[in-house]
Amino acid sequence: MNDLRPFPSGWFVIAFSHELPKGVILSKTFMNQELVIFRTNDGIVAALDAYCPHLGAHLGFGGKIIDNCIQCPFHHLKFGTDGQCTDAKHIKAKTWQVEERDGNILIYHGDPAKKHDLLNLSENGYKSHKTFFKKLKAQPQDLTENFFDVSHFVPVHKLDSISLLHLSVSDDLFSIGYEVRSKFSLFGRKFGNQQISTMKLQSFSIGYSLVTSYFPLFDIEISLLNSSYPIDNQNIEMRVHIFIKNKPHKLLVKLILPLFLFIFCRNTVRVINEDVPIWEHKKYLSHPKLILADKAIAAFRKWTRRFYE
Amino acid sequence: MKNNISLPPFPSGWFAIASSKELKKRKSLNRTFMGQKIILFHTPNGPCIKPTAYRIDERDGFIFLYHGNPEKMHKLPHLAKDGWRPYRMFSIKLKSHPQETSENFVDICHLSAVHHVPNASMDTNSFNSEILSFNYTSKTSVKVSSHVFGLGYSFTEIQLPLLKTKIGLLSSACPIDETFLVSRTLFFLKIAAPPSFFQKLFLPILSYVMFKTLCRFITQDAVIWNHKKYLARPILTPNDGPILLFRKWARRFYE
Repeated sequence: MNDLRPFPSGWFVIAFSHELPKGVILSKTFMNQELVIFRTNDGIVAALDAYCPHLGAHLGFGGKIIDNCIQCPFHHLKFGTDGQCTDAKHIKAKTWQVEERDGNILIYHGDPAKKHDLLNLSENGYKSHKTFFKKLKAQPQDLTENFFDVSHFVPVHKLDSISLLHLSVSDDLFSIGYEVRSKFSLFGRKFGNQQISTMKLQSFSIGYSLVTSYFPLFDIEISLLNSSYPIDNQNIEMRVHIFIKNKPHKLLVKLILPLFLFIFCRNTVRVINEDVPIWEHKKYLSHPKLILADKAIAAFRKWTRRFYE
Repeated sequence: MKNNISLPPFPSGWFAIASSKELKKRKSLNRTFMGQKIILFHTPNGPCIKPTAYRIDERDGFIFLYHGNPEKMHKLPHLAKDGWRPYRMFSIKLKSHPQETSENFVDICHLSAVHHVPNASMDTNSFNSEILSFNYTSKTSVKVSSHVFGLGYSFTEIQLPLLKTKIGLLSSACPIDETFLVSRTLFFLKIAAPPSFFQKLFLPILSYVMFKTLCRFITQDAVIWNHKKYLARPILTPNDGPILLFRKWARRFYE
């Protein structure tokens, strides 16, 4: 069984907005192709094939933003955000569809008619808190599948107990809910079985998922926008954007919120780092031998087939 | 996807593997030439190479190796003829191909964009002969001409009429392997004899400034060369130099 599959379709977070101020050009390798992402002086974001169609110079090494165009360093030909060369009508650079949303710059790969919707977190009361990214030797599917892998949380992340609340599948959304419980440790003995949080994981495509954790004790809701885009057939760049939902918190919660967020972010990084060695060395089995607890994985794999068509 | 066709890695021709001065100083040199490890020796009878698979020739301050069909081998011309005094060498490792670096001779439009030389123009040239010759003019009084011998060997003359001095650049792009090459440039000076008081006074500083300026030109090009992609089907503009004629001429080095 071949574990090399085509690149999945969908939206992928390729950069965060704060990495791309006006006049900046970023060079990226996306799905084995070199491209440049830039922001014009008017604030418009665009993605172009990195190699100038004129004589092949890389626009990301010495290129400049002049007005609302990207200028090639080799012969100073200028290209607009639509890829059209403003100096010669017959020259046009290949463009990529990009969208800026909630502080993320997203790029689309696949059939334009099958584009899925993007969330609108900032309009729904979410505030950006922190971002981070990491390059890994993995496939985007590995990371997204991880959310629906119920039986890995206890052995890999050392949770006391996690239980499945719901699982729902529709054409444009794959969603799962968990309840996380934990025991208290006092004088070396464990007590109780307190509910810590509920988690909701929603996948809109392989490269675009939202993980929402709700802590009922403090009424705090934190969402992680998870996206990992393929660099090439072996490597991905994982990008995580942490949002917090604005709520009319009690004074006590307001006071502990910064500390809570600090611990939450540290835990998130720790949890990801627990997964990383497994992702980097695992092999994608197209016919895994699943156990009863893995029914969500089986359903997720079936659902994701649409992104490889 | 015809634009993704890449050039054959190693064109035939003469390539400068080292300068005579380097070999004399070090007695032996370990180099990689077209993916093969070689050793150069300095002997009283001239330079030697091991393994002896390559034809070796020493000329104008460089040690050249020949790659290609021996029957089609052309004699290595003396591009830097009498009266040229060697000055300094500049070498830089590039992620490029000898045809890509040589293409700059016909790419007249890059002069203003990359090197900030405005209004440069070149004469049209016949592409029939083995050696290509070009004359360049710009708004300044500096006159430049180049002789391109194959893809690995060229000589460029820069005339500074005010000082009655010429600067010569003997340049060679020598492939290390399929990805990298070393561009070596020997600088020469030719001063009208006998030197005047004016020349004696300003030449040392002026030649150094010129050397540094030309080294900067090469490093400016290096940024482009290191990251560009060879497009088999470039989309050219009417202002471009004879790029396609040059590419057609260069095909002979892959036969």
